Amino acid sequence: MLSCDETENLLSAYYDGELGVAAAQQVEQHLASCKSCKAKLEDMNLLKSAVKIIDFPDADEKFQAALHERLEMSAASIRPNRFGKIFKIIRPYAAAAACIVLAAGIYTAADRGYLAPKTPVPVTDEHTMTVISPALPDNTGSNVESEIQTKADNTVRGKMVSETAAPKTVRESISSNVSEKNDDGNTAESTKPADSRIAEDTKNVAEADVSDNMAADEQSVLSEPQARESYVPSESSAVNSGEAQPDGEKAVLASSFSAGGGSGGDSAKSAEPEVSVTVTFVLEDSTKRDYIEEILGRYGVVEVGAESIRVRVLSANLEACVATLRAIDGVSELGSAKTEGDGEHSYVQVNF
Amino acid sequence: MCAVITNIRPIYRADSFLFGKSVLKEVAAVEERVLIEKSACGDCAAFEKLIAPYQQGIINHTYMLLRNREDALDMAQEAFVKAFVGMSGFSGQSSFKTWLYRIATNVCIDEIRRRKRRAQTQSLTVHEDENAEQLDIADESINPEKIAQQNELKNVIMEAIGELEEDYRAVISLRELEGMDYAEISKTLGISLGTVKSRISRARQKLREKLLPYREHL
Repeated sequence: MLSCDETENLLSAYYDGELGVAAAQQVEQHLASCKSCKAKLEDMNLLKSAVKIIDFPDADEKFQAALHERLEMSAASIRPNRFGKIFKIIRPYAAAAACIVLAAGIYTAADRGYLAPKTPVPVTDEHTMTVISPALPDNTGSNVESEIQTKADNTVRGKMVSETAAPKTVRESISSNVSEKNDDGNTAESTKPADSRIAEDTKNVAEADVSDNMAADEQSVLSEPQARESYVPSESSAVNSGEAQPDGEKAVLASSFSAGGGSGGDSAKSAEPEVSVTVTFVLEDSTKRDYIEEILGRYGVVEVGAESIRVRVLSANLEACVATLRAIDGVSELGSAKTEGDGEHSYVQVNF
Repeated sequence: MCAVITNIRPIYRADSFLFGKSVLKEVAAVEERVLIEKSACGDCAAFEKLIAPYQQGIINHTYMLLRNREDALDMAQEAFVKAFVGMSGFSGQSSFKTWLYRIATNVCIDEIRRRKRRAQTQSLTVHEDENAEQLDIADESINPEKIAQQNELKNVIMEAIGELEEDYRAVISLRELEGMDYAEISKTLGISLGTVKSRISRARQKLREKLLPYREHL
């Protein structure tokens, strides 16, 4: 049987009919024999009666009018939510559409080559047209090839030159790979084998005084990463001792020589074999003729003939130009050829 | 609706009265759902119709909590406006009545705690003025002594309620005024069933002590 304290705790719930059957029976058992707890149960009616006496405020007309006014003011902030709901519904679809547009934009840019990584500027030995790849860490004249590779091999050889001669008319070399001579009349030294020439040059570079041999803007010679990025013929460093450039055009120089010395000064003074390269392509898609002309125009002066387009480019830019053409659908590379030239320029020809 | 109508049995059947009640209940529920949807879209008229059955009950509840006429009406308005603005957030998991009373309770308890923080006391003076107004409008035919006794009783009752913590006041108000069962009180206030039982029990014990001397008048 329950105690008075236990019963008192359950009395309120019993009074409200919230007790379970078993608990209610136990309370009833106790109440049957306990007058005190029974009196407390009856006192529960006091509060019920007391609450009925209270005068509660009425929702009169004044209250109704004031409430209506406040609701009307609040309604303005609620109603636009309809559009908010609509926006909530379409938001995921709008996000998906934005992603699709972005992906299409990236794909188009990639397809047109806008996202293509820039090809590094080739570093060449001054005496030969041997290319010292920018990837080689200690580029001290290891044997490298001097010919432009086919599509399977993207390393392009060039020549580290300083531009000392004024450019000749392009038309003079449309149909041939005749190179131009330097103004100073240096002749190419072609008798020595390539390997020995590279070894000599390496030694010369190591011994050379950089400050004497390099021109003022020589940063591209020393810095390989810069050279990778500066293949566009907008700025260059004069390797020579600073002879005036008649036409203001400067060659971009890139060097991976760990010695850090500039070798341009030496190269400019010694008699070297001057070689130019002509890379030939064929245009299979004739609808891209104008496009090809525009592309080649970025690298140099373009000559448009009846059966071909030809551009004379700085040898340092040859690789970039060739890489661009290789990336174009409908353009096939036929090959490359070396000819005598000034060594500063090379040619790219696209046959129709 | 069509399915419900075809299920109505002829009036001479024994259970037709009970079944009729459930149909009315269902109709009322459908009507309430429509009003809720319209109110969520900013329809003032629909909302006023929706709250009409609960308006006086909410005012009574706020009065029990705040024990002041003006405050009770202000807080009741505040609760209705909050409910109107937040209609889009009413998910329907609980009944609209439960949801509305929850808002009203929270509004009042927040106001009480805010006043406590500002160290404002519930003025007995105001309450007395209120009673004076009631005396002014009292019927002259009634015994003044009786009126005075009644007013005194009301004062005692309101004072006794005022001495309770606001959380205890809330449960007593919902139980004694609205007749909510413990489960409904639990949902409205967001407390457990056991907490509801213990709070009601303790609140009644305290009020009993205060009201016992006036037993014969109640």
